[in-house]
Amino acid sequence: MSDRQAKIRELARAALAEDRVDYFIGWKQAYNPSEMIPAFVRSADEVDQLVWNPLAHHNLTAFLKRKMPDPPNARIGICVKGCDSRTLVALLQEELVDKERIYVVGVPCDGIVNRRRIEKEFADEVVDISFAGDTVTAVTRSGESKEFAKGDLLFDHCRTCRYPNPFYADDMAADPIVEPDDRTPMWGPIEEFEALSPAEKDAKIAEAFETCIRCFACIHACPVCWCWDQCVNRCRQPALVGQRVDTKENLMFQMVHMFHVAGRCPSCGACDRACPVEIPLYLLHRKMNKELYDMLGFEPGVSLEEKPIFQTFDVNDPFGEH
Amino acid sequence: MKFLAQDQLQAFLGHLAGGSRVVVPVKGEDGVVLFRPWSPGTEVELDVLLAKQSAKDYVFRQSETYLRYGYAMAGEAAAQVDDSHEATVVSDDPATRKAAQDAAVTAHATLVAEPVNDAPDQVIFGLRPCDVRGFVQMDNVFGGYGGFYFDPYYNAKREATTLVAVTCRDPRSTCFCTTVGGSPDGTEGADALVTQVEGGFTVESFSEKGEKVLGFTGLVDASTDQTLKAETVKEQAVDRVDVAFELEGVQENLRANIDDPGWHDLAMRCISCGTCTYVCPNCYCFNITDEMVEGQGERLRTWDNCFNPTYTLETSGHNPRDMKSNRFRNRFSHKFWYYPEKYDSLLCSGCGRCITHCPTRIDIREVLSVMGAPRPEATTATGEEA
Amino acid sequence: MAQATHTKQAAGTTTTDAGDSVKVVGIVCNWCSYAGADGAGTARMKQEYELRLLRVPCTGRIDPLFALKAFEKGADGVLISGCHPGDCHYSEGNYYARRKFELLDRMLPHLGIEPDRFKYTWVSASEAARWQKVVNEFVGKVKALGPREGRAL
Repeated sequence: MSDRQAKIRELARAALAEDRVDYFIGWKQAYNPSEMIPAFVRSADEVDQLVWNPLAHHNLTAFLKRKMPDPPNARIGICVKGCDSRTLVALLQEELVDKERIYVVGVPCDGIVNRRRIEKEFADEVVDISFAGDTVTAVTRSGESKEFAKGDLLFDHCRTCRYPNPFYADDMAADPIVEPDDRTPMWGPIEEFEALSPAEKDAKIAEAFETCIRCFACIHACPVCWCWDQCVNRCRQPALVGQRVDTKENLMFQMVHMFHVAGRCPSCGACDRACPVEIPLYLLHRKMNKELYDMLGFEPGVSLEEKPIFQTFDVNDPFGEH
Repeated sequence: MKFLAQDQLQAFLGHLAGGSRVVVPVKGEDGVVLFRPWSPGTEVELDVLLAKQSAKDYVFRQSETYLRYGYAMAGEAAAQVDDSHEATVVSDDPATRKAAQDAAVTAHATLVAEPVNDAPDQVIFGLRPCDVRGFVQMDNVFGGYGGFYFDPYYNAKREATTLVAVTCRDPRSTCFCTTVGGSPDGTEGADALVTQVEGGFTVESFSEKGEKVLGFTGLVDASTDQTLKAETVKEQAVDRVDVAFELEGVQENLRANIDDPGWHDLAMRCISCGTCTYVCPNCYCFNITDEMVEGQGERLRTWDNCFNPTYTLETSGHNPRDMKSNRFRNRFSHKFWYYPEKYDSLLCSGCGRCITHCPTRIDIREVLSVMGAPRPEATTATGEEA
Repeated sequence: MAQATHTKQAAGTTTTDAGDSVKVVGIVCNWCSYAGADGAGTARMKQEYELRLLRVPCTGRIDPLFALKAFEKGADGVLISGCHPGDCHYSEGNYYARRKFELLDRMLPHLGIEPDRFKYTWVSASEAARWQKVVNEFVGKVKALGPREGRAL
């Protein structure tokens, strides 16, 4: 793991020193070692703040979408994991990011740890999380510590990940890790949900969306939701979504997001992780991806040549009445 | 000082619920703690320090109906005009016909509006002293401080609300209430304060509303030992809160640093969502919209936030805060520069929710230590507005 | 003085008319299905009357969110119909639309809406009889399910 970190720093240092990029985006530690945040490095002597560990969950490609780069025409170096690279590919497919302006460092990923799972094991605040092999040690502010097996803490989409290596990268931070032979997607916890009756589903979805505060974190953290600042969710005409914050409008708000990223969303989970009230958005986007796979054998963001499926069609599409 | 035994807590809440709605922090199935209406048997979560959201929604509603409106027909012919879509029978009698015509002329649609302001009595139990200070600071804005507008909606709810705070036993590393003039055992604005001690809670009241809370018969006088223990809990809590930045001079420095390129650097990882403002106990910006369907509608006030790209969008299409760094600057400048200028108080009570809830953990303490201090002369130009 | 509320609601465009057990929204394209529906009406073919039609230029114009919005606002069923694939007035609008509707069709049950409450189909301008059959079958199924009481949508 530290090899990858060293390589990321090396590549970032070179890119900045040779003035190939204006700034380099990676991950660094937040106010304590239990949290990772995006790092924006502007000079070669600052690259030592870059860190790679299984808490580096942010999908940094969100900082490439329009109106995020500062200045707008910046040349950007960026780290991507396997799933992050799929959102990057989706942006490249639509020519929303200029290949010439980005320098991509691919980071093969063994899975990211869900910090919230650790947080819930304690009433006190978790201030340190460290990794040794497959053991994760978490320490709270009052000094209480617990050990976990890394496998138990991974995000669901990491456990079922079929593409741990980036699809698109200019340089790699490590040799690709062994990928599973069987690339058939697995859908994890949504299958449990699918077994429920319509009334039970309705109740569960309603319960989840009741607490939504419409802060737009899901939309802004989403790399492929790129009309983020011009979103129809903010629009009064047409009023697809009402201003009242209640369960139904909240779900409608989320469906605007979901349907607009259909075919480009690879279920990287950035929205789930950004949600301050922890709404299980994966119930929606993973289901959507499952159905797209079932309909057309389509997986978003795995090929630069492929078009997002809703921007094209096939006269022989195998569904609907003929 | 009174004492409430742990096993009396439910009975105590039941007592409070006798005359009003009781709101408490509740841990959901998914482990998320939120303020929820209490009903008998609801477990109160006091071990997790801060609920995901502050309790501000119960006084300053995220969606608040100002009024409902619709068109009504007035004039003599209103009933006829409105009544039916059946074929009108035209009378043969000229006099009757003339009367009907006159009546039709006086009929006209009028806009009928019915104001709404529901403010049921409520007790919010288990919020932290910083959350309470959030209300005190919002009171300035909505309460007509210094001749500003008095908001009937906010104040009706505020008046009907009793705040029973609980002392923070284990402040988090992200808490910085003492930096901004608060304290983990702060009583500013609280009607009553409970402190967790062995076997239960000590209870103190500071207002008439608080005295009512003490009316519960299950309360006994606290023993000297309990009082001392409560004092210890408070002292220890105060010790655990770090001073995060130097408040002195922040206001002047923010003003001086308004065009500093440092804002761009700090805003880089901001995704410009509204999480920090919506979980904040102090942020009060709102938007007013008319939601109308088929000629009937309501005027709604909803929370708005300065990170919303449309927050400052003008009708012309011009947006003075088009870049996220401009919006970013506003939040901190508002809390520590313009608001203090206007209301002689800060707009931050140091709960640290914005830090822990921010998707990229933007740290208000860091921002103020950097931008609230004198800045070196800018050497690196880091991008201007497009 | 007699005062009564006079709104379009009172005129029965959004509230349930007396006797209607369900509210069904139909979104149809101008060129095929609307004309088909017109044909069925002109020919006095008896149809379930709980269906209210919205006309759009092409099914390609229909955002899946229209259907969701209808459900959110209390519709008990949503029917979408357009030109047969290959017959689109704009050549390919319905090919694009078909993918979106299929996804919608598969997502709605996930949101707690019974599968029989949504249908997308194709009816041409000359298929008045088919329109009658589609409407009667679809609305019949929605009626069998009865009014919806969703909390989520």
